[in-house]
Amino acid sequence: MASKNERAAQARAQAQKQVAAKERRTTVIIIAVSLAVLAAFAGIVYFIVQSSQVPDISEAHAPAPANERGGIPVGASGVAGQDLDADAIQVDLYLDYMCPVCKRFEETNAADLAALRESGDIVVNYHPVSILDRVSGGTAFSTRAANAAGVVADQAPEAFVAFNDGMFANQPQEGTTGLDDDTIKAIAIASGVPEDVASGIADGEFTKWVLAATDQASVDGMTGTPTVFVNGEILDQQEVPYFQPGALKLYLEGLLSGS
Amino acid sequence: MAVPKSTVFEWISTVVRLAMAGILIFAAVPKFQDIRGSVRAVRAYELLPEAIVPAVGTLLPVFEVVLAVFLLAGLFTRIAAIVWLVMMAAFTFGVIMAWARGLNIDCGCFGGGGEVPEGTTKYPIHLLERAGFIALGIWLYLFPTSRFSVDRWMRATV
Repeated sequence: MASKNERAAQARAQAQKQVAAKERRTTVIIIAVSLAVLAAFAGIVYFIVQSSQVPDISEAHAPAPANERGGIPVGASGVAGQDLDADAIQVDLYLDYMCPVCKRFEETNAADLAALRESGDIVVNYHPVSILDRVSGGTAFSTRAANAAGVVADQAPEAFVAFNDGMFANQPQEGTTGLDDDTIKAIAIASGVPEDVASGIADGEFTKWVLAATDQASVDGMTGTPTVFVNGEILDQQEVPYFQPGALKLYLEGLLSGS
Repeated sequence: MAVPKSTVFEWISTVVRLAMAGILIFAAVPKFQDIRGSVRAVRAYELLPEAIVPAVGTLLPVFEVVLAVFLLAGLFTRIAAIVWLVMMAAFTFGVIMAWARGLNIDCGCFGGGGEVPEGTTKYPIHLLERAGFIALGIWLYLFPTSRFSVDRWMRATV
């Protein structure tokens, strides 16, 4: 009978659609699982490659005066790596040369810190870090500037403090391409760095060290810049408001007098 | 002429699904551009052991992109919504812990947020954001059926 044939045909068609749907589902699941496995594999490769880009700070080629925490110590003589009194208060400054807040910190405290340093009361450890490359329009200014500081510390340590000051005095705006290599070289020369040393800055000799030091800084507790440590303890702005002129100086003098 | 409630919900779910995919991509791209910053950001929350911080910081954007692909395609949508909600719960927990412990994550020049005047916190805004994201996830969990999705194509018997 026609209706029985119709019903049978309908049932067959229905069964075929279900099989087709099941095949689609199987196909999709196979593709999805394959993609997920591929993504996992790609992720692992990506992680391995990234990890190999930055050496551990203990293995990185570092500027001569640099310590194992990525700091460049400056003592009473003002020459990086020299004249470091073991009894002096250790002041660690973590700075990014593109950071406007760091510039404000320097403007507020540089003179006070220099005075305390020259009298032998404190040793200042400068940590040039690079956390703001992403706001220098692809020129990696923070990394280049920190590398420059490393080169100066390594080959013209007597000019290091002046160079540090010069870099902040000429700080570019966030979001611009920063200072180009020629400008950095000019600042170095103006700070007393010999011309042949200044010319070598752009080679980026200590770039890997900068990345390693920045990573080490993060492990040591730096979450942003500026970060200040005194004798190994991070300074909380709630306790020592170091953007107020004289507050940091007062705190350090208080430590000296043993109060 | 009344529009069936199911169709309106399906359209809303489509928008929600695509918005979630967009949010994930929007979050992942800056992390890829500064992957070391991503690792530092994870470390700053002081919640995970240092041994896995680099892995989490590096793989987080990869994971975000994979989830975005599933949401974009509309594949296993309900599962994707659950994964999203788990992620949001973890991030929300992180923000609350950081706030409670007084971590200065947004102070000065942070590798993730640029200059912030000292004393201001962005925690309330972060939490409001998280609440919004969680709302999206809950909607998609409850109403995973949407238009232009692979899920739909898989189930089609026509």
